[in-house]
Amino acid sequence: QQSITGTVTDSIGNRLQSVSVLVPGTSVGTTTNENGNFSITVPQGTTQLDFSLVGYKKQTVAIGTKTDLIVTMLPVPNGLADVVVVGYGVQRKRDVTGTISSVSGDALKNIPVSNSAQALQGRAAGVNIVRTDGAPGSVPTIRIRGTGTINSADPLVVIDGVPAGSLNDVNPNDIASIEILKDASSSAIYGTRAANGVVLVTTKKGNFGEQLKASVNLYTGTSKAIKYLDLLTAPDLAMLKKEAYTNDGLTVPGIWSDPYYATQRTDWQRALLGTGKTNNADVALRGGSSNSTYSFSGNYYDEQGLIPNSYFKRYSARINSEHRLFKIIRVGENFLYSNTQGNAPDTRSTQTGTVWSALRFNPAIPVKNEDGSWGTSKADNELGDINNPVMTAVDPDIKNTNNNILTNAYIEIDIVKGLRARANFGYSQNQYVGYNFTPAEPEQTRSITLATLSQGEAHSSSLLEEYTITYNNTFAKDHSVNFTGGYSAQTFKSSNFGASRNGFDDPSDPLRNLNNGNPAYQYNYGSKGVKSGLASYFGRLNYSYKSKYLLTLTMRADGSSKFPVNEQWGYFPAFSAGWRISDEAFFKNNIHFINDLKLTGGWGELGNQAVPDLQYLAIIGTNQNYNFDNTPVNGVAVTSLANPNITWERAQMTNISLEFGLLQNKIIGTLTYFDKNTKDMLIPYPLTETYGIAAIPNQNIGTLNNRGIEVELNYQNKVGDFTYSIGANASFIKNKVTFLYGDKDNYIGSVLYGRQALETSRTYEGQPIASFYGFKTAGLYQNQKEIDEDANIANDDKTNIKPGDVRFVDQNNDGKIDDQDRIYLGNPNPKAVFGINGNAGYKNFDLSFSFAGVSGVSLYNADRVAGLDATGVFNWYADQLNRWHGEGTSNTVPRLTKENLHNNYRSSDLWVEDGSYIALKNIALGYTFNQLHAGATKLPDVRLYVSCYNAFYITKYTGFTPELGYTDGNRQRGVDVAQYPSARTFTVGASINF
Amino acid sequence: CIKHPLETEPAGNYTTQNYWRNQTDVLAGVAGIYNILFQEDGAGHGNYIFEDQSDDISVDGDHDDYKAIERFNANPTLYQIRTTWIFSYEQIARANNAIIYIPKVPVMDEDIRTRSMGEAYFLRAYAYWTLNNIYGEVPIVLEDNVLNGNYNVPKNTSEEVRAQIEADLLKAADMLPETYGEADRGRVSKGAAWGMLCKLYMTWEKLDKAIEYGQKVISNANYSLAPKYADNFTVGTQIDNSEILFAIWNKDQFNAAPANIYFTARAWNGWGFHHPTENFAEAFEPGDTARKKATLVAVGDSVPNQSSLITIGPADAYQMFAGKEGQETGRMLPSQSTTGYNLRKYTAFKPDGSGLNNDLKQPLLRTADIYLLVAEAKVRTSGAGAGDNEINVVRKRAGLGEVHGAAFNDVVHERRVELGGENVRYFDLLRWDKVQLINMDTIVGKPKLASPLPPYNSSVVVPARTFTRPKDYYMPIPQNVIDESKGIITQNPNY
Repeated sequence: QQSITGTVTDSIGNRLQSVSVLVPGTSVGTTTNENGNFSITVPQGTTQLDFSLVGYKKQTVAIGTKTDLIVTMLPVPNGLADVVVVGYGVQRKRDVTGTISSVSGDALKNIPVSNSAQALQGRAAGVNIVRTDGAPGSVPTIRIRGTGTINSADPLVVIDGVPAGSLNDVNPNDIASIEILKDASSSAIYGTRAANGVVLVTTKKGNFGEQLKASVNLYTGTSKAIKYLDLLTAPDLAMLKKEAYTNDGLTVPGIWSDPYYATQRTDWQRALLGTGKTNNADVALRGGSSNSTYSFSGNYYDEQGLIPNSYFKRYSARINSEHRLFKIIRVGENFLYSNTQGNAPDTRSTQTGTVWSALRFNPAIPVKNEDGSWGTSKADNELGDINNPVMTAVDPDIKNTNNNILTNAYIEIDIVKGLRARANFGYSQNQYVGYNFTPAEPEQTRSITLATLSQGEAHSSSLLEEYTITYNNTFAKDHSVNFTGGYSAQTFKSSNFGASRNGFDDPSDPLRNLNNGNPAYQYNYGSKGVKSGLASYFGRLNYSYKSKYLLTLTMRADGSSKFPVNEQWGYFPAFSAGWRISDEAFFKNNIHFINDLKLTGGWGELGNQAVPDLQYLAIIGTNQNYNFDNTPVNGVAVTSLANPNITWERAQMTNISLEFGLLQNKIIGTLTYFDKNTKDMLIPYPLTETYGIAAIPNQNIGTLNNRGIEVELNYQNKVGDFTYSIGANASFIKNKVTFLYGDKDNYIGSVLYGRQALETSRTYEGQPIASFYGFKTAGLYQNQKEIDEDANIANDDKTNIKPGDVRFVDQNNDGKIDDQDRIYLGNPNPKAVFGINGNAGYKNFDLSFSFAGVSGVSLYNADRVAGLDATGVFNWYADQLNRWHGEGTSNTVPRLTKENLHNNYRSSDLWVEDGSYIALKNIALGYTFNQLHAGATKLPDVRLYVSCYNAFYITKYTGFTPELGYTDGNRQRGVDVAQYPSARTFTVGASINF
Repeated sequence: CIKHPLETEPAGNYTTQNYWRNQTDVLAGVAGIYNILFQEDGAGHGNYIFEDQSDDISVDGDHDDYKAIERFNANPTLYQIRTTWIFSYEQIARANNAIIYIPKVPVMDEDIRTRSMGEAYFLRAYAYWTLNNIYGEVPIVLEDNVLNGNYNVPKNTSEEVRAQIEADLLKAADMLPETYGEADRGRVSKGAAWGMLCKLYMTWEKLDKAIEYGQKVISNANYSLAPKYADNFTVGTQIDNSEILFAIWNKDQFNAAPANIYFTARAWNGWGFHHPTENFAEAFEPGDTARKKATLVAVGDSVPNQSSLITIGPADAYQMFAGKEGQETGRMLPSQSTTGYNLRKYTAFKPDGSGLNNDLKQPLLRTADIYLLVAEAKVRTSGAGAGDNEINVVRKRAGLGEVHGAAFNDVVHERRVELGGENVRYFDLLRWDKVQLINMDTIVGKPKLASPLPPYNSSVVVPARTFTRPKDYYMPIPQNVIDESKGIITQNPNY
């Protein structure tokens, strides 16, 4: 006989009471006491013990020679003991009173994307992942519960407790879970930057007492464009150009009769968009001893985009460990280093954007001339002032390197039972190194006369310190109290410098250094960023009575250096309460198909200070230089005006949520209603443009409302060897600016599109943010009689209108078409965002898929305007063949006119399209080889799989992709400017677990 | 530990609280006003678009807003309509700040303080002059508006705007020196202020005052004409040029000298947006070769240091290139212009053959302009022949014979060829049409033509246009300004 003692804890170190400890195959057993300790005398020859507790996975632990065991119990997924990460701690899911979506790392694994946010698409209700474009390394925009403000509406990303960093630095395969704190009560603890929600990333760690495990992941993928647009071929283009001039009685420029330009030579889209490649390899080592855990992982990721020379590479290493000292102290650290390199071509400009250029460049021009030089549009003004897009992509040598460190160290001391003090120190740093060598291309229209090398560096860093105290206790058996209070401070600083020279006698690679450029043509710069900081005092009290009645109270005092001294501090309260109905006797005894039912509700206020620094001062900018006596002299000017009263923007949120589990928790789900009001929204005061071009400071003026419903449903089941689960989520959000300037006429404008100076988006009071704006149309005038009799223009000058021109609709019934007739044309913010995810396993096969989609959304196809505007000296869309050229020939594509006297291409509903889509974002099929042996040696488990990312889109949208993203902060969304198109990627991979 | 996390200093930034401390700050603040002259879409090039409404120049290229303006089809949302507006108001904003803060600087050289105030007044007046010429009635924004943040004010009448320009220029004329030492070449002088006053009074139909201030310029040896006409447009003879009263002082590798790239042909590394018409080329008298050669590049001409060799294509094999298809040339080819001409004044190449030379300055006001304005005012007040002296000074420099008994039409001719392409002709035509000295209809009612030589054969590049009064006297106010003002600022008539 042998006496064995030990301690049982959960995965976060809480000691567990009433854990049953049993010698397998016998009735010898005991349970842990209130301190999680046990003591048992076992028969001779006992080699292992079984530990079990409701809500936790049963564990069998080998005794070996040890007599004092430390056992960690892991929760059953979706079980009662399941914990979620909350701000400054973890909480049992059943006790949470806020609304938190949790996505396990498994859902993000091995998806060929650089940024794990992309893999989150369609995974959580109320979380809209908006792709910026398809460029490698492009960072998607995350919107939690709608766009909460005209200012930065990005959520706070906290990686292992450090509020800093970007999801681009984290290998998705390192992520254990992502928690999204959506309501005010749950995110309040991160108050200074939580108004737009919080994304908590927890990386994988080792476990105490766990054997060292190694795993390797490898995959490789190839990608192709999902779609090409139909453009005119050279003969058709020449024919239509002639028609355009002839229609206006103008002389047709000679070039359009030149057979050279009526000969098709290049499909510029296919010349530009090639095959992309993605390669990933990562390795992880994780394990622990009884007093230490450790984890190491390394990752290499390499994505080559469809456009030549566009790429993103990442090398990263992550280390973390935790150690127990004297049973009451824990120390640990997380360390992440990542090196990313990349280049993303400009796909926004309407002068030099590569995709825009490919859609506009004349198809008679070859990619390269016979002498090997790049094809050029220089021959004639009729070919436009654009450069060869393939040259623009291939020619420059660009490398943007980022070195990131994100690290923290912490110490936790259990002072007395239930009282724990913690100090956490974090540091993050980013070093950016830019290198750009552009060779001379004097033969291009936008000629680059001299080769240019520019190099630059930027540094930014942030320091964090946090002190928290947690008190956890249960009184009189049923009253459980958890208090967390603390102080946190974080400071940020940045600086940059750079230099460039033009004119390299020998532009070959080995000689590309600044010293070899012409010193007469040099430029340098450098600046120091504003040092800024945040500080807060906060407290949170959780109270629960029998785990049935739950209450959370939070209070914060937040300070930000963004505001003048007397406006720095804001005070933000939040509370929420929960009622576990299924624990009530009347419910338990009567309703059996519902296992779990919890109603929660809350209200809270959060602050947002994500606006530029120093707006309380008028900034005098340097570099406004001039030249006297042929000697440059320094010049300055006021570059932004001041608002001495600027202070916190506030978001108030009400949240009501119902969580349920049905049929032995085979079905679990959440239904939530929320109503979020942003107050004192910082918006630029509406100055009339007689002040010049200085930046206008923000003022606390606007209010904005997002309200909606979120639904999450998950079903899992097992039939024999067949296991499957399916999850669906959807959110229905209504976004409305409720107050801007107190009238219906004022608005916040946005950037104009292209040469057309097309105004697509305006934010008005009473409308969704960034709504589309312009004229309504009613087809084309088919004949002169329709023009003469049209009531819309009864009092208008009709001399400039001809059959084939657009019939704009008179909104104010004054019989004239003028600026007063422009109206709301559509909402770029989707009414519904949804996802459907599934997993199935049969024996060694596994299948998973993930759909994402949006509906009730409009997109502005500005590129189509450029593609049809006959005044443009560019190639056109093939749809131009369907132009109006006689009565009844078209009611949507106007006649060809160079003079465009009626301005057919002004902003109108002709260019607004339905942007709803559903996409199969990812589908994967795998097979696992396990329990294989080579002779006597056990081989590691190997899973082989194939997968497809962006498999297909179902949409009516006619552009490249319905995922267009933001093009001017939150002021413009869903406008097609020929962004980098999305790719479809096929991947094969292997995961090996040793 | 982090001490004082919320303490922040405006690191790396000046603010109105810690600026305008001393003379160095004043000099930089004033240089900042001049800086706006470099703006590509403003004085640097954009403002020249309005000259394309005349009969002298025709638009080419892919900026449709230029073409709309050329054809009297401008609408309030055109890009150029907005940029000319905002850069003028930015120049005003910078001048207003200088005018507010320079007097408050405790210690500085008082001569430089006075001069700096004069420069600020001059540059503010120049911006209002641009606005008044292009948009007519515009809101006047002065120091008080800046201090109170009150920018949404209604339009002032043209009379009020001109009175404001006059007041600023009179102050500038008082405060500015007549000449500068070498280190300050490029700053505006008394002569520039007098010259602008002369121009203002002509537009304002105050002919006596125009003569008074014009005489101050032309009788002052510090502002005498350059020996050669082309000196005004040639790198190397601009810096010490007494005739250039006010110019944009471009410098290679410092600013972009946008006029150079916009006016030079594409094949020669420019963008070729403006092509002089045959109508204009024909206006030169047969002996007026010095001015014509300095103003126009015609097919077959070459330009010093232009080093691009272009293959003669099938569309080029005319005139001196007939039968030379496939050969290479550095001379201007027919494919480089829709009219047979490019403008010469804003084209310069670097001596080392490496492309456009951005050292070329852009004259905005020349003494020759003032001579001819004085002549015009004299002819109009005292009759034909009264302006002969002034006209003949200009003609003599051009190498032409004297005129005698010159009438108004002779002044019109002389201004056209002397100041061609310098953004003067169209604004002359406008002011003359308003007082019915000419009829704009007869001018824009003729098509813009290309050269009579092959391959152009006098083809029509822009058909006859229609000038609508009063609409086309002014451009529309930018639509966003109207919208932002919530009806305080109203649109110009007929837009």
